[in-house]
Amino acid sequence: MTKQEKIYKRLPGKKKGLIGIYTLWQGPDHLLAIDSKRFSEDYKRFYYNDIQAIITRRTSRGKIYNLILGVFCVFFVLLALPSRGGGAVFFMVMAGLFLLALLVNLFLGPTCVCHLQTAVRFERLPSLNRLKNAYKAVKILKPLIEKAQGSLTPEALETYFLGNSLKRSVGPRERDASSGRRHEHGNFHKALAILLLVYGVIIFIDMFINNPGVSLIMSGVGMAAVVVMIIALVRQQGSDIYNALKSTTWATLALMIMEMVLGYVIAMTVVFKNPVIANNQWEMIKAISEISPFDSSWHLGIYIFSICASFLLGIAGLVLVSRFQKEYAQLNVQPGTE
Amino acid sequence: MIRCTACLGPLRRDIFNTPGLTSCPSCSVLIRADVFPALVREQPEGTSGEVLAIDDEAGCFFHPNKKAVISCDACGRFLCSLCDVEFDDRHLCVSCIETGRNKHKIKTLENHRILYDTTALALAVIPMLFIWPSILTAPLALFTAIYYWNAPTSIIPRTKVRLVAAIVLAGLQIVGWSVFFYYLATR
Repeated sequence: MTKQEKIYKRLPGKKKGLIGIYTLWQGPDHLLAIDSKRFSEDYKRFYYNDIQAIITRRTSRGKIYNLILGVFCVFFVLLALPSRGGGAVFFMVMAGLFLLALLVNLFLGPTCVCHLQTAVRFERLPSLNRLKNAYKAVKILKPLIEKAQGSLTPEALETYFLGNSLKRSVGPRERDASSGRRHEHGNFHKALAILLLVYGVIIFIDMFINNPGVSLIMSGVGMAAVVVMIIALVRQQGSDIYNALKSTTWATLALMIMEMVLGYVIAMTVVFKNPVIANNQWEMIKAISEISPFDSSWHLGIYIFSICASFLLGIAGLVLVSRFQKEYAQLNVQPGTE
Repeated sequence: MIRCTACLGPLRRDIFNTPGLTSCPSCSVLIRADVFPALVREQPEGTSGEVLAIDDEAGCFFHPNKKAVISCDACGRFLCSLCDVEFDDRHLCVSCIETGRNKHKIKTLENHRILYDTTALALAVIPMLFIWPSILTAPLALFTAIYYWNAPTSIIPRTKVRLVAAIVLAGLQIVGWSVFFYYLATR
């Protein structure tokens, strides 16, 4: 068997998805992006001579992961504290696993998205999803690309920009006209913010009034918030809405998931304590609503956290959406202001 | 034009080729753009081929009324400047490129490969965990490993360890099942 010639050298960065693994390889005259789908592989080649730009953008995904992992870690620690025996061990192990994942995520560093541009293609490089890997890969690729194309002189860049009339500065809201992004009115975001505030108020009421009616209203408002949140998440994709407002909607999704998990845990606890009510929904709702948050410290902690998070996200969302709508209205009154 | 990948707004010249991240002037996300001379390079215009002026000049195989400028390095057909494709330091005609692509003769044109070694190994390992399916999958794994022994695997060179492991595991399973059925028959 003849030994195969090694013409590709692996570049830093790897992304493992549910189906595929993305890697990037340095070839003699091109960059090879491999999308490995376990039993098959797809290849994309980018010749060094054709690469116009590599654009790296920092994202907040890593911070969101940290937040979610941190919250789950604290959550399991809180569950472990009042527990005894096997339960305490299980919750501590779960907390440990989330802590480990958090530490790994912290070690991997900030996240980013990396794109490669040629004259006819604009491709995302999924393997470069961490900033330090993207920097390392660009550091390796830069000399290879410059060897194939030569160096870019400031004069050449100046001439190019003069030719494209791009010397003007771009204002904060000017981007919509230039980018052609869809305008989003933000009404769903406003409705979500209001629902979150209402939800916070109802949780506050539920703390003191242990009534099934209040619990049902709380569930109804929560479900309505989930529906509006999904619509807002869909509508904000590719829209001109503030990034901060988009992040608020994503944070609401994280809160709602947490609320659902907590609700499920509480319901399961009630069912385990009273197995007879397991098949009777009304009895179960009554039993859950009769639990006073003042009976256990972690239950009280969850209530306080939910109230604070709902108010925080609701107020932030309302302020941001009001500012966004006001700014857009002003832009429409005075068109052509640059 | 280089655009911000978050807001799609055009990026300013002063944020190109900076050592670290810079704020996008439109949406304020932290971004870094490494640009290269290909951005400012003029794209060469395509040529349509020169029309034959006199009859004794060689014409293109695909366009007989166009003047041949080169012959295909693979098949030798005369090509006009429109049909000449410069590829991997060779001048090829479109039909040779198509054939090379279909028959996997031009490695740099391949954009998809099936990993038979991984498939054979998966067929040998995964059903083994559920025991009974391996009656069918063990011979299948053995067949796949042997039949595709010389088939190209990943474009990144890899050893035949997966195929060997698949053959060994599938062989052991077949032996195991044979012994089991023999035992059942002779009990």
